[in-house]
Amino acid sequence: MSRFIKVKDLRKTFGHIFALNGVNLEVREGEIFGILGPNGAGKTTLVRILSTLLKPSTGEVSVAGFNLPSEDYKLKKLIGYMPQAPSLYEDLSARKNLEFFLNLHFDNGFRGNTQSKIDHILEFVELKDRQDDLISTFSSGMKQRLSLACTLIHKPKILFLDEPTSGVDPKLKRAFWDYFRKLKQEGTTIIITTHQLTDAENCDRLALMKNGKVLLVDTPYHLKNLGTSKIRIFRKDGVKELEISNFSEEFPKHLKEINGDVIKLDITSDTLEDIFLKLTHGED
Amino acid sequence: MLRRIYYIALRNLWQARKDYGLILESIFFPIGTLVIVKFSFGQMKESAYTLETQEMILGLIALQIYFQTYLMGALVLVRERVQGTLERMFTYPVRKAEILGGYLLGFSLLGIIQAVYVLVFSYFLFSEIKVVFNSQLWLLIPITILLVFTSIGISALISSFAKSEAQALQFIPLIIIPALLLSGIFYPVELLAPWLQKGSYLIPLTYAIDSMRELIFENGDLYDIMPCLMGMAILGTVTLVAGSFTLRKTS
Repeated sequence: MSRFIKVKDLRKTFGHIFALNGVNLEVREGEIFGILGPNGAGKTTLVRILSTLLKPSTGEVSVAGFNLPSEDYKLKKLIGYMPQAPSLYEDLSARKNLEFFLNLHFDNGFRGNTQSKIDHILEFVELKDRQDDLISTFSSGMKQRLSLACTLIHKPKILFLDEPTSGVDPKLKRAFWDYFRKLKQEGTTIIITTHQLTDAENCDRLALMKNGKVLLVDTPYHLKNLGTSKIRIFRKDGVKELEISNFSEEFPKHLKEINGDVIKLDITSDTLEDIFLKLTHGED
Repeated sequence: MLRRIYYIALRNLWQARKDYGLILESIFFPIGTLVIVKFSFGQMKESAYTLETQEMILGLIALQIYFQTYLMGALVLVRERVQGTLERMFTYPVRKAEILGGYLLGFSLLGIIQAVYVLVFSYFLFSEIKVVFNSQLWLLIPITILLVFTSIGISALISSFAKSEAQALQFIPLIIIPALLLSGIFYPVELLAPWLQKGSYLIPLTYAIDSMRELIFENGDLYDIMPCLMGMAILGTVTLVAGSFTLRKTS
């Protein structure tokens, strides 16, 4: 797979504050790439630079073959960006909001059947019955759904989603993820920032950020193996405790010790959250 | 490009249609102002005021368009910033010139509707008004468009300094007081102190009022009002360019 997004030694300062402090990153085409990190880690700044909203202070950024910021206008035709806040016209209806944002992409081949596209996306975000109501009457979850709809309506090739599932109930969150996976199958590259670990587990790869730097990039599976697992073996003659790291590779080695008269086995592994906390608190 | 300008203008009109406060204000504020003018200044024709009532009316019509466009433009732009829609728009293939062009088109249409409405209303309210109905009255359209152009330039510039709608309102005195005192609504600019006269040429409203009076009462043509149109075009361009530089700044 090609390196779809390339970031080299990217720095961004706001006055004397270093928001990004030498970020290096590569994202492959068609993957769901999660950017994980505590508040203030620089996730949003990174996504805003990749989605053409901010200019880098120094460093090289290329997205889908376009160098930023010089070729940002060409890139804008390919991307969809969902900001953290809903960012919708409160004094317009859901339908009018979608119509406006779709119209701005008219030269991407969206002439005609605008209304059927709007109907389709409204059904997906379950807002069909509220389509003519003003956004100011919507709950925060409904606004979040409509915001996602506005981001997806022109079928972008690259999606930047800044904390898309915050304020969304579990049922809809699952529907969002089902849809993201469907988009991935169609070839869409998705970059998602989050501090929700349930979102992180759904990504193909994760970048862990802290203090404007990427600490590591890996799959959720490998990241989980960075944690430790506590194994308690209950035998007739007592309890034996083991603590191992890299569970999937190390545990089979310990199986010999377990054979025999084992009554019960109790395994507690670090969750992704535990690992995330260890990593982000360990490297200041 | 033109298509996007059209869509942004259309969206502004959708929003204005839902803004019942704005609609009521646009209908009743000019009526109220003109009725007050008729029954106050109308009775003082022979007093020290050197302008005739109908000349003041034109000044007030221009003020109404100028001020209302500023208010709408500044509020809409600040709202766009605060609610994040301006930022969202910047991730679409939209240029700053298209955004400002969309505002200009939408608000010009609203301004022209208002100018026609107020002119017709004042024609019936002031039976003594001496409008010269000549073929050049269409020139009111470029005057209105240029007035709206300058007004949007000012609102784009000022909205970048306002972090909330309330702050945009704080700038109202800065816009309206010099306009009221210096642009020749109630008395001719020539009566002002020389340095203040120079200041009045920094206010777009001065040119709009001057050209409207020239057109309606003096049977003026395009040639007569050209300097005023140029003045508004220059002021509009300067403020709009300055405003577009700060348009990217988000709160």
